[in-house]
Amino acid sequence: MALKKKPTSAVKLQRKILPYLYLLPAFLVMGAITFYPLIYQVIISFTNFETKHLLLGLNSPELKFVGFKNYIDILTGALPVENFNFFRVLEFNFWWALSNVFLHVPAGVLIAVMLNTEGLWLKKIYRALYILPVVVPPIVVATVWRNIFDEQYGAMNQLLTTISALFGHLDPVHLRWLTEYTPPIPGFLPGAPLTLAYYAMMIANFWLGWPLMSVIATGALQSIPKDLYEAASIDGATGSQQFWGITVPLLRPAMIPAAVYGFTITFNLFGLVFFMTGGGPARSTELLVTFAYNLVRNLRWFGVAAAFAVIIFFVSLVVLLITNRITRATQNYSEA
Amino acid sequence: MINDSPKNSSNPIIRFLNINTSGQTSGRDLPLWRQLLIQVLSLFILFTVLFPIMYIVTLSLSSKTTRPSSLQLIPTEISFIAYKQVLDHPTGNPVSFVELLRNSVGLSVGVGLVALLVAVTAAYAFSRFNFRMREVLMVLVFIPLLMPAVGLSTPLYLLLNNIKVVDCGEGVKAIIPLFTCDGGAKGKLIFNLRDSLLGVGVAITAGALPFAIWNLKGYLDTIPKELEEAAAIDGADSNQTFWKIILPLAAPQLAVTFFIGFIGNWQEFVISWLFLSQPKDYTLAMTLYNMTGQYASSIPWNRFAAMAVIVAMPVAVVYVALQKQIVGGLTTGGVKG
Amino acid sequence: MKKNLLVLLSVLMIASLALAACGGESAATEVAELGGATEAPAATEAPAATEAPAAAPIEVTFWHAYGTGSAEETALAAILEKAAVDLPQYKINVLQVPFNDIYTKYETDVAAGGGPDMFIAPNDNLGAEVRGGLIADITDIAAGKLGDYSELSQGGMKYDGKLYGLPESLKAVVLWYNKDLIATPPATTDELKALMESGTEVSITYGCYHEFGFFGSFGGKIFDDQYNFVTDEANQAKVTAAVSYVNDLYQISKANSWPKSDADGLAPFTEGTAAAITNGNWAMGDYRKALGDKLGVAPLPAGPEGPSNPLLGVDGYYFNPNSANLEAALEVAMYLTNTEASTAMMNDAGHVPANTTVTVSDPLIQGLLDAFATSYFRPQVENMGKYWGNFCGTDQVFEAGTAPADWVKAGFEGATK
Repeated sequence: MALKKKPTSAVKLQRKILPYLYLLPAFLVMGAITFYPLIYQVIISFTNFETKHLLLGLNSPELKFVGFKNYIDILTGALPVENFNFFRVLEFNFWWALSNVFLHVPAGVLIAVMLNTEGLWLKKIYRALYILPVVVPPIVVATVWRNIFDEQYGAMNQLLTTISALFGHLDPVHLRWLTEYTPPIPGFLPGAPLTLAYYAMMIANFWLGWPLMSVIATGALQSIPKDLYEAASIDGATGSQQFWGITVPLLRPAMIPAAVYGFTITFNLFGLVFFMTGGGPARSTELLVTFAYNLVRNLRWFGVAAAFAVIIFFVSLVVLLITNRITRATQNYSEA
Repeated sequence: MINDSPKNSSNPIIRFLNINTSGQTSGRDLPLWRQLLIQVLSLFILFTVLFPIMYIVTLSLSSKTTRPSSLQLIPTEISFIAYKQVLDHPTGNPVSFVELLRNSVGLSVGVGLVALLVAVTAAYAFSRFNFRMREVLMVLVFIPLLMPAVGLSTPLYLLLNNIKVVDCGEGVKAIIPLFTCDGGAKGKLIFNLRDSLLGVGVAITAGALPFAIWNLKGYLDTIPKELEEAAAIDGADSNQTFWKIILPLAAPQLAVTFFIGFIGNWQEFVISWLFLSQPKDYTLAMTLYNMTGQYASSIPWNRFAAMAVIVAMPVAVVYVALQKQIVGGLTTGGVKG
Repeated sequence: MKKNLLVLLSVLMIASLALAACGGESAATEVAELGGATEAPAATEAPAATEAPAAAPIEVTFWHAYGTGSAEETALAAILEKAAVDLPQYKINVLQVPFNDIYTKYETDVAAGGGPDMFIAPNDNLGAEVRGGLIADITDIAAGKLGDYSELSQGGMKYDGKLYGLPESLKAVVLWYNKDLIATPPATTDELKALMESGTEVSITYGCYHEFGFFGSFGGKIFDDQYNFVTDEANQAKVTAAVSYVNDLYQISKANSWPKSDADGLAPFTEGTAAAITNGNWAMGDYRKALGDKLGVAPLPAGPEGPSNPLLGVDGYYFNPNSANLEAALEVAMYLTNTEASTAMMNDAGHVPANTTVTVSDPLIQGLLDAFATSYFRPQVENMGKYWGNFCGTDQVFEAGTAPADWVKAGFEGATK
């Protein structure tokens, strides 16, 4: 081993402050454009900031500090907007993200496995084309799917009409996907009734969601060594046993982070929800982010919007902690 | 033994249930019936995937602006008039397609680059160094990721709105808030940071930076520490290690972070819409939104579809070409998050 | 090390300058040398000024909300082309903003100190904007110049006796019909209902704005002459009768899956599937383009208690108090609403002009003017906002099954809280 010079105190100091120097550019920039607005946001959440205060900002003479009033109003539903119940929206938001992920991940895995069959023709073409839903801009996706679920001329209703005609019901099907109030399955979900619009959005988001999961699963599948399957079939394991015994456990380390990522994205899925249903009939499909947008853009109650953003922050924090716990738990499990 | 395996059973149901779902066979060719079965399934899935896309493309090739009342997937007429109209006169505003394109590209590339450059050193610091405030600062960086972007927009609006360049008359210009015009005169507004692409870029970077740091840190975590130890033995200090060894090695992953950011910014319109009011600053994504939020009836569907195809093209190209890396990038960053 | 850090920083600077260059504006951190000098803020009105002809034109910016590709937008574009020739001393910058955003965007920008010089829109928010100090009082600078504009239209631009906008056209909801499918339009509410029950597809636009006209048909009043809510029992019963009637129509529409909004009804009406549609006259250009001579217009049907009284709105140009070029903007606005321009808007876009010097020869426009005769002048008072806040949840009755009487009662109670 080569002899190293004993570090001088100057070099030692340099090494100590080095990390901070590396962090400096990012924190300088973030300090100005991220942290300052964040703090500003928190401050105005305790005021009654509105459009008329825009000119002078915090220096407005009419700006009043109202303490926790904004927060309380949001949580108790005292906001003068129709149909807004914070806990119902929260429950729906969680359910929306969960149900989507539970649909997309298995579907993505199954399709990836299917496509991974050796000797399959046109594999590459399928793989390249299956990624297409992700590249279409979200606003276009939402508009197209809104068209598809149109009551009169939508493709979905036409399809259902054709299918029902096969069974002998010749009346055209005119399901009011996006405007029907009464939930098709009464009593489900307790506290946050799921209207037809929810199901329409599930179908649209399914189209959007499984390709990404499928690509991730494909990547992970490639890394499973073939010998495992060879050995298993020699031992007489059936295909289904191989699937559950080999494929699933080995896919887990890749799919769990993917599921977590999918959950986070879906939880905050603004584009599709806003442009497809706008929060749905009577806010039944409202997400936290779409309501926040509503508060800022249309109602322009900036103080309330700021409080709402802070509340969303805490909700996201809880989500982050939970998903972190899950990720870490499964990591340890697979490494064990 | 091989002949007794369920795969060669004479019962077709058992054979079907034993389809090799792992995908790893021993190299034997796939039997024809199984091949066809999977082909049929795949084609069906392909149809569901392409169905909305064909719908849009067909719509963009039509010459009528109204939504057809019957479903059309195969174009009944091929007319490029919608594309022509979009390229000539994308919106009711006096801005040409080329300007929109230039603004979109400039914004996406600019923000992607700046976020990347500013984030890379910070990501390295978090990944490699162990210093006293590490945990605290990491949490600080990741907090903005949890705040919805729409919430930050109001303070950013106000913050950027305060920075202006005004003409005080007689050729004197002042940069507010550093200077003001003499005598309290208001001066004529020349440039408002909020109402400019630069301001929008700044606002988007506010959200892009934490994500870039988080993503890059995840990548850098996967680079084995042995490389640095070897370099240290050879006498390199931390900086040389960073610039000469780690960065070149991480270059492909840096590129992927850039592209993920690029795709996101390309489709961004919420902040641009909120901040900008001069048509020459508009971007493609805003124009797309402009076409949908219309009063009553007049969404020009064929033009909307044409614009959608045009906006989706670059993203499609990037995604298809860099599929593996992008997906790897998203999950690698996530695992260590 | 320091050297590399410096390199990093300079790359950052270059990147941000590149971004600024792409933005096309001078960077905020450097004082830019602008090309030609810009005018001093005060605009002069006299065209034959003592300034040299090479002086740069005054910039006037205005926003509008006409749909992309609509007849209104095309007509406006043609007028603007002509304006570029006729008014060389002004450079007119136009921005199109989607209608559902224009008030928000204008109000936010003006409140923050910016905004365009003027914008044209219906007088939906006039009262609120005046109370928020977001539009300029032009009574003084417009004095004596508005002889060509009808009193009615000017009234729509006034608040508290002061003038806040330059009127452009009149708008209200009427019944459009296809002459090939219905020879005579339904003149009474019973006829309309019978028509729909017999299976003829009619696209009724449901909603607190479009339905307002039916209140008059049943004798119900929302406001009295002082714009207070009329809450006595007899009146509430009449308002309830109107709401019940519209609910009946809604159930028929729902059972037949007929369109229930003007956006959904456009395609069926223009393609000839729907026989009639209730909508404002802003859509006339599109309807006429599709149906030509087959298009007919009639007032909303009268009811047992009298004729319908749809809300009469006035579109106008409103001016930004932050603007430095108010008088220039006014002049441009007056050009855009002069005889020639108003005639073009009338013929191509179906606007009923506020300018009285326009000769009306089109029977459709005449029909509109007749329909407007019984319309209700849209109030600008604060109580109007309370109407929107309490009477727009019509889905409660149509979908959720609340009894109209209870809903009306709750509406009046909420509005007078």
